[in-house]
Amino acid sequence: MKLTVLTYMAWGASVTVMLAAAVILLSSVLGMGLALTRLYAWPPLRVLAAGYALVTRGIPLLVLLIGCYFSLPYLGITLPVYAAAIVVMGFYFAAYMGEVFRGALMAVPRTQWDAGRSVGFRSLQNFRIVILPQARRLCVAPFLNSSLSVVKNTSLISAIGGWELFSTGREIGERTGELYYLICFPLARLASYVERHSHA
Amino acid sequence: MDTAFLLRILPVLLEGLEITVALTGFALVGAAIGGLVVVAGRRSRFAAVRAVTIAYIDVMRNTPVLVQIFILYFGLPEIGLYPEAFACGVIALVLQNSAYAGEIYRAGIESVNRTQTEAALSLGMLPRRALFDIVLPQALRRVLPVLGNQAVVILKDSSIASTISVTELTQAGKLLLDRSAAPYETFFMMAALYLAMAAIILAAMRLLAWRFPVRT
Repeated sequence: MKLTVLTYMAWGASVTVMLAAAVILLSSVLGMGLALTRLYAWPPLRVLAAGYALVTRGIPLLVLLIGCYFSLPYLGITLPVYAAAIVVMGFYFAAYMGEVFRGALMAVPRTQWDAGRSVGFRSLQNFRIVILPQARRLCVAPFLNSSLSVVKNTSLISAIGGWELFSTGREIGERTGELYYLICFPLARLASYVERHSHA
Repeated sequence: MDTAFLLRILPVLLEGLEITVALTGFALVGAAIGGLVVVAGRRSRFAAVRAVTIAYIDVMRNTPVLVQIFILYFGLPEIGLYPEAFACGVIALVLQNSAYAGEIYRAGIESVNRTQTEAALSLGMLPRRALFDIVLPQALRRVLPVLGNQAVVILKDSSIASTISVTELTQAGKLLLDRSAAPYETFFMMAALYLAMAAIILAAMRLLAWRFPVRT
């Protein structure tokens, strides 16, 4: 391969990594909000959050990307492709991240709450000092797996004209798969390592 | 939202839906069977077979379906094969999801207590019979919910076939979006149809889980 091709693909890969990082950040924040809403909020809000997760996970990401790409201009909103993609994917994966965090929070035994209360913690303190640190350890592996799925799905941005690893790869040849593999494989290995070594 | 327009575009989208259902159906059956092959390879007696299977699983799970579809559709012609777009879609979905299904089966099989196999063998069953009659029925019941989620993933990933011009639901919708000045209606209808299908798949899995409950 010529050097120009390599730099071209390295550029595509770096865009992929940056996009994925932005999406993971946004979806984690939103997902944490969703998880907390579903577990502790006013019951009607819980139902709403559960509905959001259910609906979002039943629609293909590609449909959402295409749908937003076509309909946003009609609302008078013109975002650059990347910004639109990050927002759409952030909200989409928030549903998945929400499940990850909710699962981890629910996996902390109820008795931990009782124990915290019995030593005099108020609920917020209890959550912050007793529950959250334990849940954080439990959610590392599923969080990494969801992140991996984010990386893979950034390839769909090329369908709405974004210019990342997949489209630069498409221009050049078939080495794209290898590059995704190089990004994803360490993530997968890390996830299974954490899974095996976290004694929860 | 224009309801009359919704009804006008519905037939076009339903045509796309048919292709989506066909894609998903073939991919589901293929992946369910492919998963068995993968799990057999993963648990093989021979180290070489195990290594090849693990490599296969790793590659499939760490690359996007989009890349696999493109390699099939644009790569195979270079070696003189010209598969149809629809076939490429099905094959890519089967290749990727066999890896996932295999790992799901494996988790189920490994969750069945070893004593079950030992009990079956001590009753004089052949190892194969112990696997098929004792272990697998218990394993499959346990992983039904996970398999249901994976089925929904297949349904959603079938939308990626639109990128190689298979006129399934997403592509049908995209063509409508290109032509009409009514993006919300089209988008709403597409999303509703996908949701309805996901709901049907999950309901079917619920039904199976009720018919084949996990016995403890």
